[in-house]
Amino acid sequence: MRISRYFRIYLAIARNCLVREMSFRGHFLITAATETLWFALQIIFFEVIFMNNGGKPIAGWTEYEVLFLLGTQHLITQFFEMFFFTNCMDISEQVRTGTLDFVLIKPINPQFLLSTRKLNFNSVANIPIAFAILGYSGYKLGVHLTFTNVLVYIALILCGVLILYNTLFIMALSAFWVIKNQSLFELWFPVRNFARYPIDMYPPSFKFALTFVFPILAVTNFPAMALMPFTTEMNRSGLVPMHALFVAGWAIGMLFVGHLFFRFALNHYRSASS
Amino acid sequence: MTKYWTTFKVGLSERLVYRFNFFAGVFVNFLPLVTQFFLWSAVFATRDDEPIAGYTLSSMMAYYMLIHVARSFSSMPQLARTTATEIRDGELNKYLIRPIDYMGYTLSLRVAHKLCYYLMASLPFAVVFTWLIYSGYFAPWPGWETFFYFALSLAMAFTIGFLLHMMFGLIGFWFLEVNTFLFLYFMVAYFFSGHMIPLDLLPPWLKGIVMNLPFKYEAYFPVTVYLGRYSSEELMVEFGVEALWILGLLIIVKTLYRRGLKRYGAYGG
Repeated sequence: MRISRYFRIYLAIARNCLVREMSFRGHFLITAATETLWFALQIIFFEVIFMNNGGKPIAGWTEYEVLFLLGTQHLITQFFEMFFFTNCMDISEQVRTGTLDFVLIKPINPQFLLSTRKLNFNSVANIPIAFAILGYSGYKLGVHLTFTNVLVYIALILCGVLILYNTLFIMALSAFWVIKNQSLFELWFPVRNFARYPIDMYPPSFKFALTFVFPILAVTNFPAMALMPFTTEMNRSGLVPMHALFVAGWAIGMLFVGHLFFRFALNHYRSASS
Repeated sequence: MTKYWTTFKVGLSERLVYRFNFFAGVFVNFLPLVTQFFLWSAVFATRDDEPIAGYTLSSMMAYYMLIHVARSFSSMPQLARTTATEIRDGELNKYLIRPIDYMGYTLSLRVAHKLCYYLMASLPFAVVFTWLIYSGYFAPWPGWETFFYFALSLAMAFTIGFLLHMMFGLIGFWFLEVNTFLFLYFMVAYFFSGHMIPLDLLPPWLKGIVMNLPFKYEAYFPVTVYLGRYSSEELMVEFGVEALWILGLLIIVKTLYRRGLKRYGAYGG
């Protein structure tokens, strides 16, 4: 009953956002195109390196494996930016100007409304592009789809989006104390860039920290590893089931931490200018 | 001249207000350097440290480090956007009714911002430079003569950057919304200036195009001057071509401004 109500609300939000987006069609197209261009530049960057290096694998990752990783990373980032990024960005302004009041007085879970209010449809156009790259490199790699590995892939993508969402959500909540925290988001982009690279490129200490402590590498590398064919002769790491479970645990754990922290942060809300 | 000097001083004190945010920002900028280091280490490990297009691992690291220096001269945060907004909202009026040249005013402000940036960025830069040089990942000192050319190319990088950003800002006379043009420009400049990857590594056909565009003077050229990749004749030719680009862009910007003012509606303001 309650879930169906939230579902209906979400559909209404989505419809609303779509209508708004479609009234600025030119802007929509160009923003989507810039995202695509940016993604293309990342691919060119790696292609140029492989070309200059005679196509030899980097840290055990072959050209198509890197391409598959880039496709996966693009997919996760686009999903995340479609559903959550703008919303997390907006939190600090709402706290600063006091418009958070209008969220709090509504008969709805405030975290739900804060996190879902805006859907960024620009990313929708880029999701098929990510799939095209995944399809092409997957075909070249001889990826064999089974029920299990597709399920694991989807689950890990979901976990990745959840981890990204909660990380940014928690970062955004610092607005309740420091009021203007835009510089935190500038930190986000270079950190996200870490995730674009094959995990085996990093030395063991970084690998450990970026998998288990701040799992940004796990978020992108694990799903890609779940689908790519792996044999023990390969020089790169394969997916360890325990590690995948760990990422799932992280995602669920962070969901709780994020929610608890939100309730805690609300107690510090001063409701400016009212 | 006094009025531009005053503008310069105002710009200087305006910038010194946000000291704190700044330090964090500069260090964050160096984060990509960490991934570049590991990526290129992995690449060079597969080829027994044999150079790629003349770059060894240490000169590659020097390249990415110096790119930061060069880009700090040629990038003008918000310049184009501010100009376009001032045109759109009629803010330009306040310069038109005063005995001051808009271009000169913006330039003095930018020089002040840049000076301030170097004043404060010198500490983070020094830390990262020392670390790189200490661990042996840097190019050898090129000698005073090359350093002089490096400094000259940086000054010209600043000029080219200023003119290019100004040009995109002035498009605001014709289009209400310039953000999309700007995004496109930023991306093209990021790639074509050699910020992303040394231009020597590009496939020949692409290199042929990129080497004949002005963007490389924003970053790639100063860096490769420092790394000593030019003979003295090549250097003179490059500087000559760059001077022509500056002249050409200056004419374009001046023309755009003059033509634009005729269309200018002075809404709001």
